[in-house]
Amino acid sequence: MAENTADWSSQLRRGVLELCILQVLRRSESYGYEIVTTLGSLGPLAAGENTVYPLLRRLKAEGLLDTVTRDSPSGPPRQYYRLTSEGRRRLGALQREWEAMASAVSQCLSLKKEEPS
Amino acid sequence: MIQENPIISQYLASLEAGLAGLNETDRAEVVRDIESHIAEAVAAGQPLERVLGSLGSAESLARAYTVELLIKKPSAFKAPGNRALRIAGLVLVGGIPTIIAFAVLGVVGVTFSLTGVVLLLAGKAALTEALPWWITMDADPRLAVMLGPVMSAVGLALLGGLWLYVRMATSVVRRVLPPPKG
Repeated sequence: MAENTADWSSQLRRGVLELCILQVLRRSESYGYEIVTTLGSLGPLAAGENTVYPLLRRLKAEGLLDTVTRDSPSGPPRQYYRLTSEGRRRLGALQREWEAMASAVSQCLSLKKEEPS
Repeated sequence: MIQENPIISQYLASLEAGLAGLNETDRAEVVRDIESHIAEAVAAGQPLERVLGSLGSAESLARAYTVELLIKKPSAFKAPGNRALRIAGLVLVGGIPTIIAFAVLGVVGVTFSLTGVVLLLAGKAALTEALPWWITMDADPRLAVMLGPVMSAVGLALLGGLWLYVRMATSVVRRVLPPPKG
């Protein structure tokens, strides 16, 4: 039973992760480790590195993000991911989509059991 | 220095080897991402074994990248380089049939339709003895009058075929090429 829920929530997370990564980067540009840590602090949104990193690359390949290399105070230079104008547009669209979906789901969950008449 | 740790360089080398399907730039950036991730996590105080354990094996991480980047919706292939590549491929594959279509259908079509008309007019003129003095006709004028329209019809049919070919080729090109961005 527990595995079923885990599987379901991982699929759910996969779907919204793109939206959340775009939103995190709208706040400010960020590098991989910081993005993973930010998402990790958001409980159910915590996704494994092997999900977040490939997704960052795909969003870049789709032109939603671009990268810039900056020096790090410790260790090798960091690659900062930034939202492009296309990414900003996509974020707006996904956000509207999410809000419509979320309100529909809560409406659905609040449906009352029909009284037998 | 962290980069000189043999466990890390071994991990990054296996990762890079697993990314053979990606182009060189992507591969280098992926390795840089992961190298930087390991360095940041270790600098933040996590033990290296935990960091690598959380990343998963280099092979499965490479597979995750490959799945996300290569086996994805066509929108992932919108890069301008790919568009240029597609056009080149289209010209290579489609160029030869197009040359043949234009050479055969176009040239023969135009020649036949015009010759047919000339033949018809010349034949008619010869029958009514109205042929200008600078044209001499060896052929039978009646045969020319009959053959002229047939040749014109064949020529026009070939031109029609060329028109169909151009329409077909245009729709193929439209389907293969994604619309330009913007």
